[in-house]
Amino acid sequence: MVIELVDPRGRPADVSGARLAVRPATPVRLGFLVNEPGRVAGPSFGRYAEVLDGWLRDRFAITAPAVTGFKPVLSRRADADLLDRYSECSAVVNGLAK
Amino acid sequence: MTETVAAPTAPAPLPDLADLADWPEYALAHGLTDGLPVYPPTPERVAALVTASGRPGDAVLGAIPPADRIATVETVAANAVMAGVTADQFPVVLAAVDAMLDDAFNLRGVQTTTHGCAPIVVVSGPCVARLGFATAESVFGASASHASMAVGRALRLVLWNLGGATPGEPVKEVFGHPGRLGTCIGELADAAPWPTLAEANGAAPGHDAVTVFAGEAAQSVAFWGAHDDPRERLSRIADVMAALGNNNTHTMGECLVAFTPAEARHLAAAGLSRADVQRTLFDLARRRLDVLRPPGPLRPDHDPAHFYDWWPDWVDQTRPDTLVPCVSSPESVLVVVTGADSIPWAAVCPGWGHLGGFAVTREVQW
Repeated sequence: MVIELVDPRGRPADVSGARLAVRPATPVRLGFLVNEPGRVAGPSFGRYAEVLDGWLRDRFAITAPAVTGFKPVLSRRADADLLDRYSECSAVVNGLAK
Repeated sequence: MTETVAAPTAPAPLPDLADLADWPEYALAHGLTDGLPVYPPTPERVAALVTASGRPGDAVLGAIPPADRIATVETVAANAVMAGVTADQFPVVLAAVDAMLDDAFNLRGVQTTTHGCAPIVVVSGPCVARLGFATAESVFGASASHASMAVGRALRLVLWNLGGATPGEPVKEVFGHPGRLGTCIGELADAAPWPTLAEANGAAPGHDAVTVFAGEAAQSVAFWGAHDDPRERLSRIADVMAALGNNNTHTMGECLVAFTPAEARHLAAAGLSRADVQRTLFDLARRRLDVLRPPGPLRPDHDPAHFYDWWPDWVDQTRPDTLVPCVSSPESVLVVVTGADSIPWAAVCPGWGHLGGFAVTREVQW
């Protein structure tokens, strides 16, 4: 005998049809998205991004300017307009916290 | 080249369960609970709750982040059954899920943040007494109220099973607190001198309603050595509200303050309305700017480059002696009357700051 159960985990939301942005094999443009605009405790992600940007440019011979931006509220998803700015980036580095 | 996003993978089907005696281990082994024992969600029990709701089982409430699995009346009922929710309690669960899906609550953030805020469910209206929600001794914890424990646990299981809120990945909560296992309190109306939190948030007087708020564990405020002066008594609450280490103190947002009926009556007898209490706490619960953001090697002065842009413009960030409130407005002090009707006492549940978890109220649809 098998005990019948209702699966409490439900089903995932349907996102079929959504499309990923173009991702060229060789990086051509970098993006840096900062979660928090303010300097809460230290120099923040901005300085780290500068160093990382220079390092990646040297390594992959990237010449296009990087796309930079920050989320207005760190705890919320970036809105569509902000994400659109990164649509041509080969890779986006997201600074999560302090 | 573009790629089509693959649909998220559904959870692997649950294997057969041959014997109900094996259910406790089965539920743990398949990650259907956070560690506490649960009841099996059998079709008959789930159907009973769905029927009691008066809504179709496949009616969609929304996607529960971060896993974004779909909460239908039936899947919420399955989790409610696991928590021991009864048919007459189930509409309260549905109202609370609906409230948590409001954008102001920012459930995705509440689920995954490093901060230790967790949903606090406040039930208001005649159903508090009718269904026996906790309003007396041990109201925030082991109150012996089945309604509070079951509804609180049901919401926790919804967030666990439909939201995939597993600690580590994706939940980054550093410490948390026991209240995340399920916190549901009742709001006293008859014994309170003020309108309820639900009424303040727009619920019709006398209607059953649920308010959700993401808060830390309740922190005790006893009135040691206090005189009868309301402002002096409220200053003790304000001191806890504006603790230097909490999110509110640095980013504002909302804070829940619970008063026992005795303390609420004392303040009301001194002429304070609910709004007076909120205004006084807003005025008192403040810290000097140079205490909140002391000068240091990385921030030697009050240059605008170091300003916090989450504070409103009326906070003068150029002056070290500016007193910064720990909540966004007087209305951001969420006043609730509950707890043992014995001696004057208060409790403070700091919020998540400006990041979300804001109080959202929904009337219960019976």
